[in-house]
Amino acid sequence: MITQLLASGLALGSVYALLALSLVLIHKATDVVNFAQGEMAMFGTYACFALLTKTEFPLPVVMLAAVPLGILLGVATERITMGPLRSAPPVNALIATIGLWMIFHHTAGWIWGYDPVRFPSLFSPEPINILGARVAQNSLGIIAVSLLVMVLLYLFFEFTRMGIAMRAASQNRRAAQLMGVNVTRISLIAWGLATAVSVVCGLLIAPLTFLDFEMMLSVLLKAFAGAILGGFNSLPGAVVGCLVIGVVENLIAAYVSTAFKDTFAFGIIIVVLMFRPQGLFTREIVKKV
Amino acid sequence: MLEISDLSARYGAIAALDHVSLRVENEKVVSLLGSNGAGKSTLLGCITNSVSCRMQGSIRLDGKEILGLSTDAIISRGLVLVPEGRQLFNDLTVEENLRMGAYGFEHGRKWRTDLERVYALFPRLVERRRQVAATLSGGEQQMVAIGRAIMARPRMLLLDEPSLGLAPRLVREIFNLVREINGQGVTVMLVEQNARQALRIADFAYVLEKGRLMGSGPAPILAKDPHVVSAYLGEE
Repeated sequence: MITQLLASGLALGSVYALLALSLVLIHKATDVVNFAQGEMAMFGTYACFALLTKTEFPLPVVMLAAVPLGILLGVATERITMGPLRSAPPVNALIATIGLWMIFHHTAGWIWGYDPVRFPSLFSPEPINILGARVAQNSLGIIAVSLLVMVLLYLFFEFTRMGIAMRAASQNRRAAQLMGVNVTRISLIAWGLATAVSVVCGLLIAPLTFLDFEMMLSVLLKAFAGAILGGFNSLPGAVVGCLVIGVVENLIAAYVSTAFKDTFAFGIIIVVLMFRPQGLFTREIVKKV
Repeated sequence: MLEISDLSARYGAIAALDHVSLRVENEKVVSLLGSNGAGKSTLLGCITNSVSCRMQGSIRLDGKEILGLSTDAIISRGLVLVPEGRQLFNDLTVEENLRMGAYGFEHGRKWRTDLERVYALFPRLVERRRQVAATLSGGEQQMVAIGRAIMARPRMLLLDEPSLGLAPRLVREIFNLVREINGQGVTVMLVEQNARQALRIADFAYVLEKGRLMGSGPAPILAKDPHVVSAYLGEE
C-alpha cells in the first residue's frame, strides 16, 4: 500500500515538476512569471488530441509531435505578446500572462467544447510487481517520461552552447550581451522550450483527469507550490519541490482527507514565502546594489 | 587602427563625452587616464555599443565606420571589451565562462584551441577550470574576465579598470599579462584609475576630464607632465 502510494505520489510530483520546470525556465530567462503556462499546456494537449482523432496517428507519434507543437505555441505566444513588452516593466508582462491565461482558457472551451473528454493513456493502469510491491504501470510510465524530459533538459543546459548561454544570460544579462548573446532570441527559446515541456506535462496528466479546459488549474497551483519550495530560481530545486508536494499530497489524501489535497499546496506557498522565501534548496539571494 | 573623431555622448540631458577625438594605433597599448566620472567607461561602452547613451560623431576601425553597429557585429570585427567589475557569470564554471567568450564564433571555430591558448596565458586557471567563478579570488576572476575576452580572438582588447579591487602584487601581475597579450599582437586600450601602473605599460596615453580630452602624449612624457603628476600620480 505504502509503496503504491509513494509511486503514484512520485508520478504526480513529476507531472507537477514538468510544469514547474516550464515556469522556472521562463522566469530565469526573462524575469516573467507566466501564469498562462498551465493553460498553454492544456491548449497544446487539446491540439494533440485533435491530431490524434483527426489523423489517427498512433499515440506515441502524437506525443512526439507535442514537442514541435509546444515549441511553436510558445514561440508564437512570445513573439506576439511578450516581444512588444520587452522594454516595459516586468509587471506589465506578468499582467499580460494573466490575460493569456483567460484567452487560452476560453478559446479552448470555444473550439473544443466545455465537456471533459476521455484521453487515451500510453500506459496501462494495471499494477506490476516490483521488489515485492505492486506498482501501477502508468505511475512508472509517467515517472519514466518525466525523467527523460529532465535528463534532456539537463544535457541541454549543461553541455550545449545555447544552454550555457541561457544560464549565463540569466546570471548576468549585460555580460551575456557583451559576449554577443542575443537576449531576444534567448527569450524565444525559453518560451518554446518551456511550452514544449508543459505540453508533455498536459499529455501525461490528461489520461488521469480527463481532457478538460479546466484540467490544469490545480496542476498549476501545485507546480507553483513546488517551484516556490525549490526557490523559484533553480531547475533541480523545482523538481525536488514538486516531488515532495506530490508525495505528501498523496499521503494526506490517503491518511487524512482528500479535502486537504489542494489547501495543502496553498499552505506550502504561504509558509515558504513567510519563513524561507529563497526556497528550501537555494542559497539566500543577496541583491547587490 | 581605431579612430574616434568628434564623439559626443549623452545620457538624457547629461553630457558624458564632449567632442572627443583620439586614435589607437595597431599593436600599441593606449591608456586613458581620468578620475571617476570623467567618461572613460562611457567611451569604451560607445566603442562596443554596450551603453544606453545617445552618440554622435564617428568611430572608425581601419577606415570603416562602426558607430551604430550592434555589439556582436563589433565583437566579430575584433573589438572586445573586458567590462569594469569583471562581470563574470558567477554560477558558471571557469571553463563555461571562457566558452561563453567564444559564443559568437563557436560554430565556425574550434573553441577548444582558443581555450588552450587562454590556459597557456593563465596557467593558474587550469586547476580551477571546473570551479564556479564566484569562488575564485579577485585576481583569478580578472584573469577569467580577460581570458573570456581572448576567447573571441580580439584584435583589440578594451580593458575597463582591470586593477580594481586587487592587491598591489596582483595588479602588477595582471599588468604584466596585459603586456604579454599585447606582445602577441593584440592592441590594448586601457582605462585605469591606477595611473602609475597604466603609464608604466602604455605606449601612449590620453587624459579625459569631465568628458573632454585634456591632454595626450607618449606615456613616458606624460608621466613627467606636472599636471598629470599632481592630478593622477600624486606624491611618489
